[in-house]
Amino acid sequence: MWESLIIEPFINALLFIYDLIGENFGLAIILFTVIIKVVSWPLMSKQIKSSQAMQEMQNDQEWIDIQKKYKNDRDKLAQEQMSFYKKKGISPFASCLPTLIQFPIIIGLYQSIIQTMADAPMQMFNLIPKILPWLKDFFSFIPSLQEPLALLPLNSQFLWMDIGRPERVFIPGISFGIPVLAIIVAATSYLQTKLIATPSADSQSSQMSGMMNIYMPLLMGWFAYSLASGLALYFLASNLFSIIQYAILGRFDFKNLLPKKKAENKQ
Amino acid sequence: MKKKIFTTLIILSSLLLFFAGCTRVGTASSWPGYSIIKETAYLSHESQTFAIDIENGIPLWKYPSDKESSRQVYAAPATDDGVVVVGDYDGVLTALDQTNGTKKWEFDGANDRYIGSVLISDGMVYAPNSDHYLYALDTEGNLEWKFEGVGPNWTKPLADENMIYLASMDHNFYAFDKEFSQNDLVNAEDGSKTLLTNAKWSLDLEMAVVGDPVIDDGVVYVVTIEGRLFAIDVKSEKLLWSFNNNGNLAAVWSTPVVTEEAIFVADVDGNIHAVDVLDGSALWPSPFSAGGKVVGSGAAYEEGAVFATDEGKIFIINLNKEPKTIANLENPIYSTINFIGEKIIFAPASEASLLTAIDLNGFKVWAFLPPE
Repeated sequence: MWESLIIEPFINALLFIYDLIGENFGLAIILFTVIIKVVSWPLMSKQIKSSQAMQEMQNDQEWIDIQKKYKNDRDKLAQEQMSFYKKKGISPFASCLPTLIQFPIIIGLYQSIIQTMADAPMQMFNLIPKILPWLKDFFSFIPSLQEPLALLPLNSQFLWMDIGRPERVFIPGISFGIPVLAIIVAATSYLQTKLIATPSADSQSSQMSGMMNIYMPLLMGWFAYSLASGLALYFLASNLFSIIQYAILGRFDFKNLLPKKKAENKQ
Repeated sequence: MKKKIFTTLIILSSLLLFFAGCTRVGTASSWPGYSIIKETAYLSHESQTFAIDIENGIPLWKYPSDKESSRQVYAAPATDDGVVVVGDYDGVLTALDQTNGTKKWEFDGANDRYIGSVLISDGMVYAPNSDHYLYALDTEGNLEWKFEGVGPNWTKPLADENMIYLASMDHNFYAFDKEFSQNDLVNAEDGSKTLLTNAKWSLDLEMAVVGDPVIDDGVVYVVTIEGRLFAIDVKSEKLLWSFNNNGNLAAVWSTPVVTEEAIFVADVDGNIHAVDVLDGSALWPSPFSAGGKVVGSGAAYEEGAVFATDEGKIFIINLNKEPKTIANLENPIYSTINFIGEKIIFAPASEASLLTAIDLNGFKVWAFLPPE
């Protein structure tokens, strides 16, 4: 079910793009990521708006007062919270549902990239039955398309990297390879989380957000460092697209990038 | 809020760990590769290579002595002149002493995985690598020449008296002279004069080849992942015929089994096709359905062939399309089947055995599992 509904269509879409753009798998990953992001734009926009409203709620004086008032009565606090949501027109599920719908897409995209990069016998053995030979006939109006199976093995070279291997740049005089892509992935992840963060009035929440802002980029950077560069490309394309999407929706706050004054912090 | 951040953090971490867990990159897998020379089987699995007495399944030696988590080796070892040569996923070719498994030399000039087996012929080692090169070394591990194709090489090269043949994933079938002039070599990237610029001749098969080809009486039989069997006359350098059974031959991973009367080809749909050696026509109106995918190469048996499926079925099929089931085992079989004496030897995908021998009635003769 999962394979036939998500993975196989994704693998064939990746191969279709790969063929269409002249057998460049790196570019195919980037383009496919962008297409998926564009298709899921309405969901993502809804999620961004809802989570923004939820975050803004944390700084709302009325909500802060409610929390203080009912801090020892959890049931009453929950009731008041729902009333507050209703009053402000916030739907808590509106921020969760799009995320839940997107999860299978993101995981499917990730798994299909891995499977399409088949670079060992078992992977290739599993990949071949998933390739739909009739795709060429379906797209017969594009004469340049090849037989899908003839595309194998994929050209794994993209810029300076091998898509199937972790990326490193070797500079003469330095004994180790520099993980440029992993650094860029970590940096864009950090940029993304910083730019979209809404300062919270609650110091504990603010501290937790700050930890997450560091933890997530490091984790993403670690995966980009240790996994195949094709996946790092996907992380990078995804991060950049999200940043652009937030910018278009006007959810950016460049002030988040500037160091906060101590006085502000004390307040 | 704090709870929400914690929950988000846990979800994201779990998701990323899931991503890491489900990736196959870096933990690539295959099935055990083995070869049998005289009374000994040489088998590679995970990080180790074993020599096993095929009379009783008793291990003679292993290399390295302890498992190494960073090493992966699945290519079937090649043996000749007292050495066993095997390539690993780190691109290292290791030559071991055939009698005790001690390391004799190592070649680390490749940049990618050794998936196909090495060929040793006339004092030379021919090693196909996924980095698009075929490496030719002397039996001391010194690089004599290398040839760069345009795709990975996963199949074992072939040799006849004068030539070396390589079927590549880059869709080409290459032929190289065993003897060549130094003028054929140009400077490689590392400055050495080892790069062979052109094969003597080549044929475009239009699809990748992952199954080892076979040579018989001056004709090479090679199969592609599209599901087409080619017969190539290496003397005339011409394609004799090709066979795809009107599109009914699926992708082929196994080596065709060549007998006097027929060529038996097994595909991943589990169909066995019998093909006329002379003109490539189908000998049966419809293929025999084995009931499971056939990945590993079969072996000739009398006038037929013995095959195994990924559902653990081992069977013989003769030229009259009469099947005889030998065994129905619990584990899938992806490896090559060998028929030695009265024993059928194979490497099941099993926790209980890396190499197994059964008799013609399907009873286990021995099972080899390395001691922990």
